Amino acid sequence: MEELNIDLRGQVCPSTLLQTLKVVNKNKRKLKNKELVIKVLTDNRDALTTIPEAVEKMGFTIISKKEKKYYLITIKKE
Amino acid sequence: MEKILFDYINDKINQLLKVIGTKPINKDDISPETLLELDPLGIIAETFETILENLTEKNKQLKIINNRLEILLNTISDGIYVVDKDFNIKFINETERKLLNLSMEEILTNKCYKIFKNLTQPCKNCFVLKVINSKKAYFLKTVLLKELNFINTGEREVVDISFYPFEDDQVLVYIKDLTEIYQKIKLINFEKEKLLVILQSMMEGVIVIDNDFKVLLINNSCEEILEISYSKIKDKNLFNFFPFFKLLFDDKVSKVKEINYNNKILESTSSPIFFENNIKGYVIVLRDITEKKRFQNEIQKIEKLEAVGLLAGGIAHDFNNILTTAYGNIELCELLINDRSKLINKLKLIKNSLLKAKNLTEKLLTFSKGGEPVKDIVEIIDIIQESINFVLSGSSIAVDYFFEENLYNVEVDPGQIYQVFSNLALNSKQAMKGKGKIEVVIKNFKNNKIKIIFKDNGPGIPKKYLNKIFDPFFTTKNGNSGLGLSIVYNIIKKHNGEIFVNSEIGKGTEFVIYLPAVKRKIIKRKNNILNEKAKNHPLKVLIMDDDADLRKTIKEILELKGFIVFEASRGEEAIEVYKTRKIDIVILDLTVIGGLGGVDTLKVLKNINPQVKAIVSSGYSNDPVMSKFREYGFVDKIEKPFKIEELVNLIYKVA
Repeated sequence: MEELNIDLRGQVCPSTLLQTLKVVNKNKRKLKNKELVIKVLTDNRDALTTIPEAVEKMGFTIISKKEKKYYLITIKKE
Repeated sequence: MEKILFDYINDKINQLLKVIGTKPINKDDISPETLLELDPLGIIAETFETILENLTEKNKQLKIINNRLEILLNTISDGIYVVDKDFNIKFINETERKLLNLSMEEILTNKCYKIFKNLTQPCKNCFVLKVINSKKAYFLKTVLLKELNFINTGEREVVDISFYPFEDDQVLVYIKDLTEIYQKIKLINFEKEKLLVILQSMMEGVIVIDNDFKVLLINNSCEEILEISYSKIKDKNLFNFFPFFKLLFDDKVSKVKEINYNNKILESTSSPIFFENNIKGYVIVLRDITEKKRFQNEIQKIEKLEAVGLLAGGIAHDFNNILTTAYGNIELCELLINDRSKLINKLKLIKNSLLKAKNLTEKLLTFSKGGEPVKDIVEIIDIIQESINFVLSGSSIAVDYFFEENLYNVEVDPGQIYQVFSNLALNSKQAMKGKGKIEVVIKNFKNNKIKIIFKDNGPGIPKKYLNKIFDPFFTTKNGNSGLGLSIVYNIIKKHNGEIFVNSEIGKGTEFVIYLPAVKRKIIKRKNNILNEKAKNHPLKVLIMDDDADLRKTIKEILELKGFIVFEASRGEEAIEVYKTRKIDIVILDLTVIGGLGGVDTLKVLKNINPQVKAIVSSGYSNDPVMSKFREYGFVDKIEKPFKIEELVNLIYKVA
């Protein structure tokens, strides 16, 4: 499966969410067909709530994970 | 104006950002150029589009699920409905609706108590309210709908009703129909009751045990027969109380066993209870046959008496005829004392009558228990031919004989074998009405036996009689004793032989006889040589018998035949004579009243001369000494009454 990484470290709200949504919208077909997984790297703590809230309404699944100095948010279709 | 527009757009962007759940943009932090580059409106619009697509998809899926749920609810055989706190039915599945036989509108516009019980107000003790108040489920197990005053029960009688708390102060009611199971259980209970009544009203005792022989049930009759109460033996090991029942489990095959218990005779069987291919226990049935046994014994005694009566009657009749002939002729002899030729004729008639009497007593002895065969190794072919030819002489029946060469020797009682074949021939002669064909085959058979086939082409014996023909007194012919074939059967059995009958209506009857063969050879008679010898050196014969008349008669006849004869009335006397005279042959009576008998006398004589030649004579042919004379030291035996010729031949034979 294809993997797309977006590094949003250093960015804050609402930019983090808007950037993420932009990539998700652009790749929604591939996501829906389970051909792609998007991984978002962010150090903005607010993104852990804003991204899942919006992306789940769009019909995708979120897995958030805390790495050493950032958060890794995986977006995919179940 | 530009400023106003920028502020307005910024406001709306923030409004939208709030909708999607993120922080607003501080318009002082961002330049219009950066804002355009970020394109929040575009992103949000696209996001909404994606969300909308997602929701449309979800809606579709929900509709499908809803549809499926509806089908599921309507197809299950149990009734389901939902009631709210005001007793309105909010949902009902098709199953329940159909059972109530009401339209959806009627149901949805009426209160539950009206629909189910035709009441104008809620039931006392309403379960719906209970569930709403307690927020706990209630269950009514195996209830009769009639007892709950349901008016609309459909075909249901017995149900389980469950009340579950449902959303928004509603209650889900689930009615599970148990009527079919309940009816089956009722049927099983009825069967059970029926079987129990049968069991308790049976004359036979019944015990049901499990695989460990633990008593599960005994019926009333069993309590009586075994003299024990059910409560005492229930759940206990049967063998601890009645160890004799172990007998029933000795064999793998269930057989009827007889058991003696408390002066009772019991007949008992056991049968395994097979359930789902496994033995789950056993049923033992026992019958008290004490009375039956006693009755059977009585019947047997009566039958025996009847048989003896019949036999005695028959014999007496025949005997009277013989005596009449003999007596009449003796009277005639007295008158004809001077007419020698007529006298001899009359004497011949007397002789013949007495011969008949002898045959009659022989017959009687064979039929009685003690008629043991007095066996000798003989030419059986001669005996068979002689007897059959004698019976058939004067009739138009042809006999074909087929004999195997080198036929094995047999040890038989010639008189009895003679009787067997004369009886068979007589039966055939009567059946064929004096006309037809008889075939006799004698051959060696495996296992050291000889096989004799006696076959006629008469009318045959009906199948229904075949297993009865050997029974005593069984006859289909008027005026016959029905003893003939039973005598045949007895004789063959006493010779350790076997006899079988095959018969086909219209074709004929066949008797097959097997007799055991022996290795020993036939002793050839040397009459003629000895006859010559006798003429040169007269033989000295000693007769010991307590009957003086008999002694005298024998003495006179033997002297006529050229013997020198000495007499003795008792054993003691015979011993004295033997000591002083050079006796060749001794004829000893087996039983002597008031003196030494034949066996004891011979013992003494053997001491005097171990080579003593003694013949035993007796009227009791069933006496073991007669049948096993050699074991007692005699060289031969002669049965009374005997013909003088027989005695003479015997003397020559042993001398």
